[in-house]
Amino acid sequence: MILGRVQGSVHATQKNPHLVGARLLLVVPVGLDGELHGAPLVCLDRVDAGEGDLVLVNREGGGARIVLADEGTPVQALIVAVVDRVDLSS
Amino acid sequence: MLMGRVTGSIWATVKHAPLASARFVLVQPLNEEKQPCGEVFAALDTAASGPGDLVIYTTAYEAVLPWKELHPAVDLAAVDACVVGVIDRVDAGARS
Repeated sequence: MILGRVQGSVHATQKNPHLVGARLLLVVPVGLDGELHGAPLVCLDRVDAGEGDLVLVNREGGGARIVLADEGTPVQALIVAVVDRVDLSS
Repeated sequence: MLMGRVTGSIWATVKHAPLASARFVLVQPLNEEKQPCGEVFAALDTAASGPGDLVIYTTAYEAVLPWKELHPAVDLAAVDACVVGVIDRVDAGARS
């Protein structure tokens, strides 16, 4: 799983039937320095995350299929937690 | 899933049999500023996307699933990227 920052919500009318009704958020991966790293992920949100939130993203389709109980879903990234705090040992 | 921009269509008459009716597009991956990042690649289109569209695409095994569902007779198709949605808009700034 990775840490990421929610940038906004993604709206799509034409989409895969398994994504209908799903809340999709654009999440940019963040490093431990807090900086944004790399290409944003379009994630399915199951924890009511909002823009600006630091979130934990399960970036793997097998896990998403189990959590969503949907063998046909093309979801590859699932927001599984809103992170309150990250403590790093020095 | 990731965000990209459709930059073209690919036409192929001779195709791997399970992909006989497939439509392929060229996709440019994008960063959070919707600027190109990385190499353009080919993807199966299952969302009726067209050139210029901002799209959601999926890779790996998840790229095969939409096609499998549209064509139940197909077991697995040799596809590693698939467009699954056309983005109307990305709302940012509503809450932060």
